[in-house]
Amino acid sequence: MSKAAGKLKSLKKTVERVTHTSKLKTNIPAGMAAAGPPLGPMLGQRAINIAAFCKDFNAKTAEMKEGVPLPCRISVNSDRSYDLAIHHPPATFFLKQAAGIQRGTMTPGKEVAGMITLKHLYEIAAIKIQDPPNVLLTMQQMCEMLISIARTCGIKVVREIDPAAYGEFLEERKLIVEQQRRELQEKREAKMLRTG
Amino acid sequence: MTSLTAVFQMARQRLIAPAIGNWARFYAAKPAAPAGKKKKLGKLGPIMEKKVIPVETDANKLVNYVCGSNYMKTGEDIKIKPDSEYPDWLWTLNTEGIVPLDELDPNSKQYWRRLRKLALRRNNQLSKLKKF
Repeated sequence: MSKAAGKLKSLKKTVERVTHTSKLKTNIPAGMAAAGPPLGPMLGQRAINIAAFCKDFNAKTAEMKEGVPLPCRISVNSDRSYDLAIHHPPATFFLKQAAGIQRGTMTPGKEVAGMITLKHLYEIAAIKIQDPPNVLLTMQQMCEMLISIARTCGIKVVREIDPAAYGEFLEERKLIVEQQRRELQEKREAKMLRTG
Repeated sequence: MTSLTAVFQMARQRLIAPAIGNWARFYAAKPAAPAGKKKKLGKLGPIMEKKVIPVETDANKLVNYVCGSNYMKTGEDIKIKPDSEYPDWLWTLNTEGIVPLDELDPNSKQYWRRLRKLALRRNNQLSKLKKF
């Protein structure tokens, strides 16, 4: 009986502890991880060494352009160590960059912020399909997903784009965005006056 | 007596007041601000600042390249290839928006999924109208 008990004890030792904590999902700008908010408190709650994490992340993203948002999945082990998985930048980042716009629309469906072709969409899909969550998707499914994301950003997907016409469109759009920003600022100031 | 006080007042104005005025100059000069950009400090350390990533403004480049596809410091953006190098299904994708139920084929999975979704939505709306 004692031998069996001893075997059980040794088995218990070899079995690895399963961590049931959810993965920490966050977007961190490449090469710009800092110990302060919002990253610091997130890691602090999970008892991760913040300084070591920031140093590790910045070293891993050293060859990337600074400020590019990178979706990260951080799984924390029981011994306070962590596994860091860095994905490709979000689809919205790629779509906005391809369309040449800084921000999308506030009213998608009613106004167009920018335009991209189906070819652009295919090339972006080829990059995004490499991410672990999208590995099992087909290219067609990935493209359909990107079309819906583009629609929410206010980016129109077309077959062909004329460079001259698109240049004019971007110039007009710049003025509209500036006007919208001004209106938002005025609203904010009016609100401050009311509450103050 | 009055002349004496007047003399003292004049002496104070001419001798003591300028000296007091000069004393302010002997304070240590404030250290010059560093040339680099100072990081914002929050309660828990330096706040992660948002960097505005510049976008391409040249329309010709936007049309012929997938700008932003290369986010590494080295390398170039992907160049758009001719139509023949892309699959045929790419040109049949629906980019216009949601297709109405009438236009969908009743033998397809999408049709029945949409029908179920609309029925659920309608039932939920009707159940909301019930008073008790």
